[in-house]
Amino acid sequence: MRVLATYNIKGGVGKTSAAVNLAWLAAAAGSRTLVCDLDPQGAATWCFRVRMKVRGGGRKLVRGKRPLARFVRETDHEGLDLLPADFSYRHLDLLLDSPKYVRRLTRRIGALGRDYDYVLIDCAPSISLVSEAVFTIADALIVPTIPAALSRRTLRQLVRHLRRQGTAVQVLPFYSMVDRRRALHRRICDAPDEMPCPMLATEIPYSSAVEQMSARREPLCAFSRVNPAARAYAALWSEIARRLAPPPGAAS
Amino acid sequence: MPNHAYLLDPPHSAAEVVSRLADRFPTRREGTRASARTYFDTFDWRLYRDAGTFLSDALDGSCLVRWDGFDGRRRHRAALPAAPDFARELPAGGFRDELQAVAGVRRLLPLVRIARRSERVAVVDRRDKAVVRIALDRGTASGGTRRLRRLPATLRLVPLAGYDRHCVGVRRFLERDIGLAPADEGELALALAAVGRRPADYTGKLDLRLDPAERTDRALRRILAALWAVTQANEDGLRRDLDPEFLHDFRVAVRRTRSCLGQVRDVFDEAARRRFADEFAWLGQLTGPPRDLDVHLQNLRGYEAELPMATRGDLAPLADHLERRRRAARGRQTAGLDSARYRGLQRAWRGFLETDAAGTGANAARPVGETAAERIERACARVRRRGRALSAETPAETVHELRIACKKLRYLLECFRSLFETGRVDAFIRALKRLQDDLGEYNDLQVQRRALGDAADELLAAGGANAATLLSMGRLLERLESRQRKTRRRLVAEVGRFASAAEPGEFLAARPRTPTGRSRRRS
Repeated sequence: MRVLATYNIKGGVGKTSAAVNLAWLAAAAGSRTLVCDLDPQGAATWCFRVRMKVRGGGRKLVRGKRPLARFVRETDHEGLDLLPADFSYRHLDLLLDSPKYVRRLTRRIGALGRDYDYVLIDCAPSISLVSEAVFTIADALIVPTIPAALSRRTLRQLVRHLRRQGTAVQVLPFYSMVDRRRALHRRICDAPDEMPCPMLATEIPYSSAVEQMSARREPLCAFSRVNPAARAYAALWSEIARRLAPPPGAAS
Repeated sequence: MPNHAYLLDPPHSAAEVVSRLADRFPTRREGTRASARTYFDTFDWRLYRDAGTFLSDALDGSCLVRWDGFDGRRRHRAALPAAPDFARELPAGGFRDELQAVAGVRRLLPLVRIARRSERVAVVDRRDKAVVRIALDRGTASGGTRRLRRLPATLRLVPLAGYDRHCVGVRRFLERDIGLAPADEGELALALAAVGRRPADYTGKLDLRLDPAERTDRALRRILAALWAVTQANEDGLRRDLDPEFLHDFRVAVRRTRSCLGQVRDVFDEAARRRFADEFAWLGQLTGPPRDLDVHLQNLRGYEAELPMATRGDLAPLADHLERRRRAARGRQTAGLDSARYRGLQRAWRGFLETDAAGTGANAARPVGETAAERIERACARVRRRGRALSAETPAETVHELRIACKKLRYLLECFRSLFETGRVDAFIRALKRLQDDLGEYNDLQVQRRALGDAADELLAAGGANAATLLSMGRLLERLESRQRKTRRRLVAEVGRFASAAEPGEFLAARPRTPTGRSRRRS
């Protein structure tokens, strides 16, 4: 099982689009895949047409005794399951007020993930106790980054924070919503040395087709494989799969 | 969650079911999909017997390999360029390790191929989200010697996790309102039936029900016929070298046959018995060297893994040498199986097994329960006698004789197992098996040490060994010696325990079992 989290302190950078499409691509390649939607906005849940409801809400998610598998919904896409979001997740931080509960959430998601090859966690923007729990459980953070000064700054904040905390999670940032007609986007994308950490080579172009996902309620890759953004997500998934550090104890 | 399948027999048709379903539930047509699926298993159905199915669904230029449980639980799946021939060919990870634990060294053979067109309909909720899927399947199956066979039209209800309530509702509608009856058999069983097979239609084990009152000659002939069926079933795989277990099962059946002919005497005409015993001994000798080399090569892989990483490659010339010898031994074996002698044995043995003529020996008319108990007691006494004489100084040849005595006893027990109370005889066989495992390991190590010495001479003579190879072989020899010493110590203790504790009298004294069918008729 590999746990990947699409994460950024900033909002509106393409986290959910990345989570939904990368999960779809993993499942289409035959891997058992689970999306955990931890964002109380429930955009990933919406994209899979699943009702945004977890019985017992965040409290049951964090402190419940019964396995999380009972909340899982099979999506319309083969091999792809979803742990839906719930609006009560806006209070998730309050439920994680003790390290005991952070450990419990980590353990519960870990136990659920044993049935899957990939678990993709779609995180809410911000840096919080939930994020801390995600940093612990994830093997890699997939960080969509708009080529803009503020995004570069938040990526630097994240890298510095992880370094200070001594968190071993692999950071895989990529440029998202790139519009190469804009001089600023071109300048930032073409100057990788100015970024706080190495960026993935694949860029996801800005595309109105990505926005259509929320109207059609399905991953872009499921309804348009030839769209440049869909092709970019496929390239991104190949690159991430290549770049993932081998799991501990894996045979060489 | 299991799939629910229904046969679409007249008067029910796919169109009628879909139309009535759409009247009752909101549905979404998801189009028609063509698919090609192949089910695989080992020759002895290890995956099926482990309550699972292993299949490969063709994708564009690759395939999706799935290993599922009978309960519908997904065990593993992987997208691969092609279905693997062996579990060891899977990429490193849980899938490979778990499959290898069940399939071992056996080849994954295609059982049946299914070409299917599925019309898919989803029952949806108010978000247009599928909550249950219906697949209307039409297809053909091919496999074995049969050509394409049409499969019955089926309707599959595919539940989706998290939507159990919806599935129950749709199932109830299909069964109560439309009147569909759930199919008794799954897709694999239906496809196998279409190509004239049934699941688990082969086992290397003897699955006979003997009646203790049956005449010995008749019962013995049934046992020998079942053993002959095992050798014949394995011959093709053995000739094609599909995996080492074909040869192993073939040899075990031959040895069991020899054991029956050698130990249960005075049943058939003595001249015929001696002639067949000689012929089966020849078959044993013919297949012995390739089996020894199979075992040696398998163990070599394990030993290599124990060597330091830097020196592992040094044993490659030895592995190549053993592989060459194995190929030569296999060639001699094939020549033997192609010979007039083997064809003559096949003809004569079949004739012998098919005849109804009564045996001419003194034991022929005796109830088999009595004959078997007497022979087992005698074989057991022999094991105990030889076992008591075993010490740390006993020469390897004597240990080998004890091993042979144990094998003979084991074969008798397995051939006549159905005559006795299963629990007790099985406990005795288990104790004997533990002892045999140690004896077998000791013997394998002895054979491998000798073979390693011979291989060193041959490699040197052929100029195929460098200093690094010889040094690694020396290290390997040391390891084998040390392991053999340890096994020997364990063996002395194990033999002592068996000789003093294992009492065949317990199950021999128990009332011989009467086959269930017969006793029911009597009552």
